[in-house]
Amino acid sequence: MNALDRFRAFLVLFLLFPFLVLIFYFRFSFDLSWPEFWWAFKNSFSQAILSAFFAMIFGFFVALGFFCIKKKWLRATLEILALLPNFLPTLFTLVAIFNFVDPFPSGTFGIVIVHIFIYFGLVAVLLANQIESRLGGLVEQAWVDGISRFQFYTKVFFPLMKKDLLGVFLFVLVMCFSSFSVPLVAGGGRGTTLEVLIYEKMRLSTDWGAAVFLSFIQTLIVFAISLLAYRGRGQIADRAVSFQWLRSRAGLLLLICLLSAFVLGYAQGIVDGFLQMSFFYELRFALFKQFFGTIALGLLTGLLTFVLLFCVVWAQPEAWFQNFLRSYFAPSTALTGFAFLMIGPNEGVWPWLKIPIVIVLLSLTSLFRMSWESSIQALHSQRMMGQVLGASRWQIFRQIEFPQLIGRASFLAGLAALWASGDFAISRILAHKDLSLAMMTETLLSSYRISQASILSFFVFLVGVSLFLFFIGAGRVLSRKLSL
Amino acid sequence: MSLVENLVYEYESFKLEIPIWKILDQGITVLSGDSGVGKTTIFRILIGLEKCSRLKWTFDGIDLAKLSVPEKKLGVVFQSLELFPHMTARQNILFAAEARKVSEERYEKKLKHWSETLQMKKFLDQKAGTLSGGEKQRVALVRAMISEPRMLLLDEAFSSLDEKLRQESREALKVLLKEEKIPALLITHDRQDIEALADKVSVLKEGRIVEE
Repeated sequence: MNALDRFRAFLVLFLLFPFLVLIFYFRFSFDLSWPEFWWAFKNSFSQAILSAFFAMIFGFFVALGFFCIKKKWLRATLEILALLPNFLPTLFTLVAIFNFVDPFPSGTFGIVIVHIFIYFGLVAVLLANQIESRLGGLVEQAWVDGISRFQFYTKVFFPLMKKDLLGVFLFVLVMCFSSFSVPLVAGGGRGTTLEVLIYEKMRLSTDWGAAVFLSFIQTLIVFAISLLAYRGRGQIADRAVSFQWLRSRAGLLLLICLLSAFVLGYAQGIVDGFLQMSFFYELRFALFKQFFGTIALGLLTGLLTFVLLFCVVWAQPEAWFQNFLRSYFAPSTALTGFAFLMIGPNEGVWPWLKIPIVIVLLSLTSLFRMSWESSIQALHSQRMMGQVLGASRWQIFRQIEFPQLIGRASFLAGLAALWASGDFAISRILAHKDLSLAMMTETLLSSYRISQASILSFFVFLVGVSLFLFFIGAGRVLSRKLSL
Repeated sequence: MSLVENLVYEYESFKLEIPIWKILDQGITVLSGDSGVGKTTIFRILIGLEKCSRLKWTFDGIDLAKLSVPEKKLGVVFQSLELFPHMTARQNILFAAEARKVSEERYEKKLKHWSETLQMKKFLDQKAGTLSGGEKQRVALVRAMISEPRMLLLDEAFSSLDEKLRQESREALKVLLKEEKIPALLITHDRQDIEALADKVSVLKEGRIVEE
């Protein structure tokens, strides 16, 4: 085994660490009642199915709404706006919806509402792109032939798109099934899911055996659904044409309504919050500390993400390693958090180190699949050319890969920093007191002080966006210096 | 003469079977044939990018097939040229010189000479991504030659150029090879490339060299 192989093995072990803890602590005897398990399982499944189903319905109409837009920049802007609830930390969606839907229906229904807001835009963008690439000229052909829309949908659209639709549905289902932060806040006592039950088993009754068992079951289910989603992919057509026949103005209106609800709900909370600013006067010292806490967590997470992304590049190209990253998915968020809680001390600086590590561990493969893999792949021929020219691994990394990937890496690091600044769920597991503004916001949200939570989340937003821009700016500066 | 032996390669229904094939160690050998017959696969096998376990390629008494890709010390120009787009033309050439540890003095001397001969001076400090097809072609050629390779391999290297630029590139190639006395293997299906450059022509058909 050479040094590079050992390095790959180290990265794999890092990602598998929560699974290793899961195996190490697994016990056959634990205190878990079956009614309790079935209750949580039923909640997990029903909220995931309902969330995925309605996100698909809403997303589908919004996708058709995108076809109304002819100007490319406007379409791109709307797509970005639709994706925002998915890319921004969950905290903002929670705050916006708690403001907009008042009184908020805690439980499965509440979780479903939040999930729909988070995923409808992602579904819409994915479906719009898949419709364009898969159906291509068939839409124009059907239009010219004068077939009815009903015939088109039943005889062309669904037969050709069923695998894609299933793939997107299963993807959202998996995300909702393993969601942690949303059920933690929106579930209340009535919407306890498997993920929240794992959290409660560890936090309240320190029953590691039950938590590991639950996590094992959840991982198996997620794995099974992911396999189905993987098999759901079909062939891709290569022609893109006009889709105005499929356009739906109602879909566009739906998008505007949903986004308005999101923005207005959030804005209303902020306005109400400003009227109660005196509330924060008593908390000014805590706020001051947590402001810097948020910055520290975001910076550390971003830096760690940046380093790890380039570690992945350094470990390329190796087929088994790439396949591992493609097929790997992190276990339960709660279990990963508790796995790190079990090792080493949890006082002083340790939570500050552990929280970024866990966030990176949970988000690394998403970032890899999101765009890092394709960025690395795009350099494949250049890497090969460098190799043919006789360049060492270090020269290829230093002169070809690093300068060209630095922009994308800093974008993804910025994204991770933004997520970290809004994280409260992982932090809640690893820290015994509020370390960041997001944790404080969640405390306020849980006690239904929505206006105060809104204004605080706005500060989280400002810090998160500043960190995001900081990483992008730093990437640009570094890139410019390297090109000199 | 360099000798390629046991070039056997199978992929699904596609098969290459070349028991023996002679490549000139001076001048230009052209490998020709219709599209899809496997010319590029042979090119990639010789470079070492595709595995061919029984291959033997004797060149100056050394079996190149046993060496790793960088150790083969070949100059290569792909059809897509593969210039590093974030680097200038000069940096692209310097990259290859550094990789093969060409001394700075030697690199400077060669670059100066070739940039004059091939009229590259005006675009040497431009980013590779902004160069025209003909300019890219010249940079790729010089990059491949800067480290004095054992042999230069070119895969349809002129196919993306218009006729005028092709003619210029053929001239540039001739000049470089004549000066450096380096043998070349050119993969092409263009009759004009063959007429203008070939010292020897091998034709590939149905996975075999059928005519030399």
